[in-house]
Formats: sequence, structure tokens, C-alpha cells
Amino acid sequence: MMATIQAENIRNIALIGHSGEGKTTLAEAILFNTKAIDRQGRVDDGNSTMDYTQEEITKKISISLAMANCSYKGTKINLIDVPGDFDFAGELVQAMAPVDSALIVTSASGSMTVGTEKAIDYCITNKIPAMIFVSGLDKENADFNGTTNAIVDKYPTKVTPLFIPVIKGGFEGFVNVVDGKYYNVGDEDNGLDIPSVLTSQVEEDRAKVLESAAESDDALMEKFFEEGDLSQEEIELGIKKGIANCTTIPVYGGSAALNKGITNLLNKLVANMPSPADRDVIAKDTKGQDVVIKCDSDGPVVLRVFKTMVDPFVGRLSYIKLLSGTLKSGIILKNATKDSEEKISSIYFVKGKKQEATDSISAGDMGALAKLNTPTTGDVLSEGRELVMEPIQMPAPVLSMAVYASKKGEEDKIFAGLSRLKDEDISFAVVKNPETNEMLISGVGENHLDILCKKLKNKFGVDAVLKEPRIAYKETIKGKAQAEGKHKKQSGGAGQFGVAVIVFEPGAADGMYEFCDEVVGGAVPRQFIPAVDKGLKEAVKKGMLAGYPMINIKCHLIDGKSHPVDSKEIAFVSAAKLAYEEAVPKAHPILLEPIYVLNHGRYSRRP
Amino acid sequence: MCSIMGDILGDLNKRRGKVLGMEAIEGKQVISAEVPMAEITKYATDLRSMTQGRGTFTLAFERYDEVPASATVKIIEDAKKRATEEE
Repeated sequence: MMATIQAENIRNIALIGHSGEGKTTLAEAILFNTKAIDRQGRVDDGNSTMDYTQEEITKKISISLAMANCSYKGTKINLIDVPGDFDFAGELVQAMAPVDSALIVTSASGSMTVGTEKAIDYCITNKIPAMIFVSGLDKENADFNGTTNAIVDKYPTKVTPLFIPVIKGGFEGFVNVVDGKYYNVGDEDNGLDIPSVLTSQVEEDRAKVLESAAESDDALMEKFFEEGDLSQEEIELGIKKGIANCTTIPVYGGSAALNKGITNLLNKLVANMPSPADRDVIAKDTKGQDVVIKCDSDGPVVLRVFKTMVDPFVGRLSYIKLLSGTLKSGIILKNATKDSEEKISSIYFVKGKKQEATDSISAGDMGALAKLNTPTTGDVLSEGRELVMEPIQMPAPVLSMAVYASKKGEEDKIFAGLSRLKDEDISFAVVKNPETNEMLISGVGENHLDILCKKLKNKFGVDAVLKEPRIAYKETIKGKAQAEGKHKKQSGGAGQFGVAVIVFEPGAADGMYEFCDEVVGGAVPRQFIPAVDKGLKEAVKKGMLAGYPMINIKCHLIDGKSHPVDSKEIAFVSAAKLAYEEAVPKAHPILLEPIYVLNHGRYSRRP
Repeated sequence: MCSIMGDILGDLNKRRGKVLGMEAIEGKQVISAEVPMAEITKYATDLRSMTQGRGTFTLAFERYDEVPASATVKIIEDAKKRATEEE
């Protein structure tokens, strides 16, 4: 595997889009076409390069991001296959941290899926250069025009189809709108004259492309105004600029499953997508000053961990992008976030579940490091300097369920398993709710939590059950009431006697519980006052309506009775409880429920 | 789009929600509302099906408030049932 490669000759591309629209299949086709793999696997057969975990093979969907690399015409392409299911949005933000561009994959269903729309929005909002690939053109009822029209309708100034497919029974060939040539599928480097039936459509599409290309560059715009036309080279240049500025999103198409249109796509990815050298990365030093990291193989080593995987054989694998320098084993790097140092030992390139050992990685490239001690996702490792970057903004966990062990006594195993799974998936949280005593697992959606339970079963052999979480209700009183609590046990043996008269009303100083001693004349002897307080504190742990904690209650001890021999602490503790139990039902008790502020929102910003 | 907004607002109403504000930001409607926790434990799933996955939201605890009488009976029954189960 070539290790030293110029950053200009690297493309780091994330495949994103709606779930089940062919991203993993396209990655497979690209890897097969570039001879990175010997045979083209299929998601349905469970043998694709990118979907290799047990859960992915069973469910036939991507769950974790997966990485692979290939070489095409002297350019190294690193692909990250991103799950489309919205429950795994955490994988999306991790994948978008290192890449320089995105390839949005959609089926040719004739409409725009929500996942496509969200992917385009994400790229526009975060200024990520993007292309769209309409796949499945060989399927029955494939509708390239319907699909692209739906997308163009929504994004008329940005989305620009540069590809006209010719479908007769199957997907046979296509016109490249920019060079005005026709290409047969399978011979995608060899331009032919366009079929006459397509002439007018090509003219029409070319006019739109001209405008789009001219708009991305002032000089081109000027020339376009003066001459009304641009050369092929100028159009190519304009499109490339438009992609880089995220003002143009070109559309191509093909059939990933049947490996058609892939060579054409690869040509466009290599020619028009930006390389890591086109973008400086901004980090911060320990004083909070910006540090510009140039993508330079001769510079000091700076790398970022964007994903952590747990490999059954290698253990913890940190997926990294090298932002600067040339990484070789033996180097010692600083992790400012964790205030630690790491000696780099094993360096790999990644191809799905396989790792290929390498001596070095150069600036702009991606790979994996085994067995780092501390770094977790988002950390920066740097040579000689301490650097940090804006943390990767994970989607907020919005669905919480209570997690129980189906076998009693296995709760600890579940907790241990979940904390191991957190190495790989930082988009869920586990907390114990002290009020309801339940272990809560919070994630992005139902699928997300389901998959975590399946992983617990597959990896740690423990069965977890999810239940709707209990609500932490509380109780309080709205009125005032008084009661006399009398504890009397004077029938033989040592006696117990205590009486407490207590007034209860809403409004504790701390909002929870307040006790006021207002006894006069020693009706309750000094030494027993704390016993009343103690009894009340115990009592308010349970309200009288449904046993939920009582809050915001103010208790005035105003009177009582004692006995010179039989008055004991326990008697007053008990008397206080009796007074509480009698008074609260008369003091207009109510239930309180937690109210949340719900904000509907938009996608988070680029990490 | 408008019908989706109507669906969401109607749904919030059913959940005893109080809409605090609505705002259009960059072409997206942003709704802010107060809703009892008991009514939104599965909101992530429900909002997704109402909006085909377009809608996103965040939740933050705000305060405790009185449970309306209509909902009180069931909470008390459930608590008693659970207490007997645990015994």
C-alpha cells in the first residue's frame, strides 16, 4: 500500500443520504472497480465490505460508519460509508469531521427522500462540498428525471444535473452535459457523438450548466456576459469552484449494484472534489488562540481521532485523519484534552473490518491507530504542541428508556456492557435516575436503543429489557392544616410517650422542606425537638397521595406533650410522622409533574 | 408544510403542551413549548413519523407543576398497584 502520497492526490469522501438508498452498495462498487476488493459483495448477502458487524448483517442496514480506501488513477480515495437511518445521526457527525466532501446517494424513486433533503441541507449549512449520485438506474421504474427534478425544485440554484442517462430496458449509457459526448456503460472513458434524439435536451441542460458555472467565478461571469458561452475547460473550472464553495451540487447517476456509471463517477470525484490540501484546519492552543494547521507532510504531526471502534482482534481502534505532518510509529504525541502523551505504535489503513499495517501516514490521509491509552473521539494528538479542536457535536439524546436485566441480578453486567459500548458509540448516555431508581439509557431513537440491546446480547451475552421510564412525580400541599400526633405505648415494660402538634403549610425556604420550632414553655422538651424534625424529614420522603416525595412543605411545631419518664426520642419521631399523616390529607395535597421545555430545532452545525 | 405544522401543534395540544412561541428561522418553523414529561417519553418516535424524519427537537427540564385532576387518579392507581407488586 502506498504510504507517502501528496495531499493533492487524496479524496476523503463521506457517502451520506437516506437509509437503504444504496450507499453501502455504491461503496462496494467503487472498491470493486478500483480493485480494492476482488469481488463485489451485496448488502442482502451480508458480505459487503462496509456492513460487517453482526447487527448490520442481520438487519441489512448500516449502523456504524465504516471506512475503506482505494486508489484510482494515482489518487487515493478514502470512503466513509455513513448510516442513513436517522437514529444513527451520531455516526454522520463523526464522519463529517474528517472528510473534505460528501457524496449524497439517492435511489431513482422519482421523488426526493427526506434523507436526501437532510443530507443536502447539512452540506449547505456546514459548507461541505457535495455531489449527488442517483443510483439504481437499472431497476424497473427507475426515474432519474423525476428524482432530479424533485431535488432541483427544492434547490434550484445549487443542484445541477450534469448527466443524462439513456435507459432502454436497462441503463445503457449516458450523456456528459459538459463535454456533450455520449458514453456507453462499461466504456466510460470513451466519448462518442450524442444520439440525435437527445440533442435538444443536452442543449437545454447545457444552458443551465453554463449559468451555474459562470456564477461561481467573476471572470467566468464576465466572459459569459460578453460572449454568451464558455469553453468546456471553463465550465469544468466553474463547476469545480462551485463545488468547492458549496454553491454547485452536480448530479450524476448509475447503477451501483450492476457496477454501471461508476467509472464516470470516479472520474468526477477525482477531477472535481476538493483534496485535503484545499482546506486549512483551525485548531486552538491551550491559551485559546487559533492555530492554522496546514495540510503539509513536512509540518509537525497533528491528527484527530474522529471515531473509535472496538475490533474483536485488535481491541480499541482509533480512526484518525492526519491533518499535518507524516505519522510514523514511535513518535510521541500530546493529547491536550486528556493531558496525556501517547506513543504511537501500530498504524493501519482500514478497509471495512480489515486493517492493513503501514509504516506511515502522510498529511491529509486517513487511517487507524491501535491501542491508544486515552484518546477518545474528537481528541487531537499533536507533536510538540498542545492543541484542541471544537468538540464533535453529537446529536442530543432525546429518547430515554429504562433498562432492566431480564434475569434478576444481571444489572451490573448490563451497566458494564453499556460502558464498554460507549467506547464505540458516544451518542448515548446511561444514568441512574436517583428519584425513580431506574437505570436510564438515552439515545437518538428507538432503533438506536434496540441496537444497543442487541449488541449487549451479542457481545456480552446479557439480555436487557427496555421499559417506559417512570416519571419522577412529586407531591406538595396547597393548603394549611394542623394535627396532633400522639405516640403512646404505656402498657407494661418501658413506656413511650410523645405528642407533637404541628402546622403544615406550603412554602419551604429552600423549596423542599423547612422545620420551625415554635414551642413555648417547654411543652416539647428541648432535647426532643430534633426528634420531631427527624420524624418529619423521614415522613416527607413519601407523600400521602401516591407515595412520591413531598416538597415545598413548611412545618411548624407549635405544641406538644411529654412524660417525665416515658418520653423518648423514638416517641417524638413517631408522633411527628403521625401528625404529618393526619394533617397532609387535609392540607389540599396535590401531585406535581416535571415539565420540560421542548424546542423544535434544526440540524446541528458542523463539528 | 402547513398541515404538518397543524399536526404538530394539535399533537402538542393533546399532550397537554403549552406553546410558548413559533418562529421561522431559515425556512424552518421552530416551535417552543412546555410539555409534561409524562406525555413526551416517546416524542422522538412520534415526531419522526409526523414529519417523516425532518423534525428534530431538544428537551430540557424546566420545573415542576401541578398535575391536573383528570390525570391524578391514574397516577395514584398506578403507584398503588406498583407498591403492592413490590411488596
